[in-house]
Amino acid sequence: MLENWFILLPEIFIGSFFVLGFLIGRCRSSQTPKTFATLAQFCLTLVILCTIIFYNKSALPHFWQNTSFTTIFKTFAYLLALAWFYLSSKWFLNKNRPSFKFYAVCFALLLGFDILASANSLGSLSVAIPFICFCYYHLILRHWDIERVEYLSKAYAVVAGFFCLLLWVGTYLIYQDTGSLEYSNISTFYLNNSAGNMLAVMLIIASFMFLLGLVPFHIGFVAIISNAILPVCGFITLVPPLIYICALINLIKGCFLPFMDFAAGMIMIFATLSLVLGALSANNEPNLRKRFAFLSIYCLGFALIGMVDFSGLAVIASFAYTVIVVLSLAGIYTVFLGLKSKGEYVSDITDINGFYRLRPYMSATLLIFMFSLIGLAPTLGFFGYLSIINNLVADNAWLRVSLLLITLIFVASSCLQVIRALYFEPQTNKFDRADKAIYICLFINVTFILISLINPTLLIRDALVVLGGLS
Amino acid sequence: MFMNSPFAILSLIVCIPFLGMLFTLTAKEDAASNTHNSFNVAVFTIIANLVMIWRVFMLIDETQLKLQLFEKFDWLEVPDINLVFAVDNLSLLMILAVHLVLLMGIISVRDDTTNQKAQMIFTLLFLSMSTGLFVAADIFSFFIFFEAMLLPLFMLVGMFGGYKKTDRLGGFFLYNLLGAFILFVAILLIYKFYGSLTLDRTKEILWRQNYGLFIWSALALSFVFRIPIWPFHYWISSITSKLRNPLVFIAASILPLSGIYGFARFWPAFIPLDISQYFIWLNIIGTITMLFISLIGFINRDAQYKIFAFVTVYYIFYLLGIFSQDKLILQNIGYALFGFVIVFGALEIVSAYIYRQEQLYESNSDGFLCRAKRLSLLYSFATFAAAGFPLSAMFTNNFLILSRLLSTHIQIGVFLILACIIASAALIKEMFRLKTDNKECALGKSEDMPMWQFIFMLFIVFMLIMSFIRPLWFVVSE
Repeated sequence: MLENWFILLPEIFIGSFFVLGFLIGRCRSSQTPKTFATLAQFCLTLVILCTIIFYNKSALPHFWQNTSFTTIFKTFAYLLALAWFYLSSKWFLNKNRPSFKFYAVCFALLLGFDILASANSLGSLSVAIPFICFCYYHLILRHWDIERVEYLSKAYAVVAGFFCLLLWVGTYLIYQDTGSLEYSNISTFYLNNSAGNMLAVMLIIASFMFLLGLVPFHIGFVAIISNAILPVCGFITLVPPLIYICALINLIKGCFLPFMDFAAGMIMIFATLSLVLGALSANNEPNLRKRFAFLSIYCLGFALIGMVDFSGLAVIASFAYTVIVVLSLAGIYTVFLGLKSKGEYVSDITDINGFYRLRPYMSATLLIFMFSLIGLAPTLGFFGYLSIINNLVADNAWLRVSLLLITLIFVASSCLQVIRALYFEPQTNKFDRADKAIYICLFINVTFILISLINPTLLIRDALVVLGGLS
Repeated sequence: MFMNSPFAILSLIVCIPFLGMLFTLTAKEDAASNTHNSFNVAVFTIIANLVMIWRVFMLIDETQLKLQLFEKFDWLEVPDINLVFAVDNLSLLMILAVHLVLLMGIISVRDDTTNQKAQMIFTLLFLSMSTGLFVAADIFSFFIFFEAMLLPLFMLVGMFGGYKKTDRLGGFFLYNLLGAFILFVAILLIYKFYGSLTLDRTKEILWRQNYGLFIWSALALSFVFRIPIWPFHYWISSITSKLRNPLVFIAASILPLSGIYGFARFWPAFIPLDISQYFIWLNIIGTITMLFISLIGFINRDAQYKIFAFVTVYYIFYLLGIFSQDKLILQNIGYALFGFVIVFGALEIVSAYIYRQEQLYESNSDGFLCRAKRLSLLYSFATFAAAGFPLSAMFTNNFLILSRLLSTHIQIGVFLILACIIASAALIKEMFRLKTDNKECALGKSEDMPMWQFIFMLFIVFMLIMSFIRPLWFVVSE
């Protein structure tokens, strides 16, 4: 019994943030945004440590099962959240806005992610996904100009509600057929390819695609990124993808194994649409945040296309690619926090014209991240592309390889537009001095990228060991 | 890790410019106080690397045509890919030429203090990547540097090339990236079917087996993407011919060298007869492109275009030389390319110097060389060397390459000679314009090249003359 409480420590530490935050709110007279950021970092550090310590222990194995596989995804996601919490505090300090609600909703989301990544039953999934959508709804509302996001949050709530309904219907159909919600039981007994079963698989996967923000469900994701406050945009872009991919792999390999081909075909359609539309829409998009929202949709499409075989090597390749992309996006969002003119964060591409003249080091890091997104050798992004495309070539998936390479040209074109604005255009704006924390984070990110560049195996060696068992 | 070279010397010559770039990054630069810290670091870096390259020349056996001093670094486990470095005379000569020509370019932009630091950073990065390209001993290592050199080049062209249409620059980058992607696919195919990317295995790929035809076509296509031969000429010619910064022009003109070198290094020695018979079309297209560009260069009044035309004509000439499939000719192409790169660099530098004076004094430069003796000497030398006079390694070796081409196709050979003559005539015509005295020219003696720069250029002249006598004159056998 006591052991189970220890195993639940990551979840307990996530919950402790709410209690401590509430107490601080009641007891302390001056509540600067930094107070809650520090608390969030403290709690999250403990969460990460406990997640690693209890990497293969589960208190409620019928609902969620921690394995080395889920731990690696969770740890990466938590580390990104930790870095983003640290950076977000700078935004709140600059704007002089209260930060408790933001961190509280993020912690609630982390709890949802924790359950989702390790979910071992469709029941957990049916609870975690609506809970995550509910948190998203509240996260969108974290804006000082409530009118700007009110409509968006309501629209999101309606659409999310619809997809949660689909998820529940799919879960109910499967439960009716197998009498169980546990993945292992379902994959054992759920073998007939009836239309009802197909429909159930389709509905559950569709709700996942909505969560991932893939085309044609991307409109909400893009709207959130372009309208929500910067800390929310960064959090939504950086942290969830790894968790969703982990949960999807668990679901397909653990539960829908008999329907692997059907599920893979369905994911393939969504991924291809995202790949094409993401790459095309990112071009000529004047709003930087929207542009990167489309680029992240493209990257998710790329990762899923590389993963649809769900073999061990395909999963490793997609994992490596996703980590690299998320690192690049983290760098880009960090730079966004430094793109500040007269106290306002700029978001238009013309606003950053000639930025390098004032902030050469920040521009240089952005340049590295952009070329990494393009996958230009020898940047780290290249290894991500290499691992996925090499896998596809080995499988003779020439159509997919051609599609990836053609769309990559469009992505390169989009990134080049940003680089041109940064470096080749005359300066149009004066920028405020950037916080030291931004430089520190950029330095750490670039150092990590350089180390991985010299020895890329460092980045994926653990993944090979942990994920290798999948093959 | 496997190594049969002392102190990983080949990796060092790739790393030194990169380290120099990092030092330049930290150099304090203040345009107002006219400091040249980044310039000094860049020059010192290149000179230090030149000494290293000189040492490498002495370590290899110059009489052997095969690659030597192998260095292998394990890089990726899945897929199993390593970085392999090795050199022979050809690659070392290319490295030396690129170092010398970029050093000339850097010295020529010394007084251009606007963003000099960034210019030096990207130049050193470009130098590091192009050195990597020439020491790469397997197709994957080659690809890494083949693609990597695009980044600094794009930044140099965009930031310092003086090219106004920035949207077209994006096209230039994407075009080159597309070429690199084609090479990437070819490499993955080689890896899939042959399990190894070493040079020996690459040469073993059979034309009619396991996508062999597709692999060789993709390799050829990716290399041709870098060479301004019709119909691949548009992006390179439209950008390079309009670059006004000598350093950037030189860097952009090295880009086709990567394609030529790719052919020289990886193109198979044996091509089946039923496939090689189609190569006549490549010869015809190449010759027509040469004739066409040399004629435009002759008609065009822009001195920069004339140099670009000269560069293009000779690059295609060497490409056709490589397709003649003669291993001995390959050695001559190496010597000729060494002279050629330095000659077009010298020509560009004196020409850009004159152009700058024209812009500064808003005067035309007709007859300027009558008053500027140092410039006149350098310009005449570079023009005559480019025109094929016996002043550099180009002379003898071009003659041998031409003889080989003439022996294969006499008709094509005649047109080749014609194209080379027209390209040279365009340069000589430009020299006459500058040397025919003109009273209205506002430029005078005081606008002549500074003495220190002149002395450096005399050293380059000395190098060229010595290369005519003996291409590897600086190598002292141990």
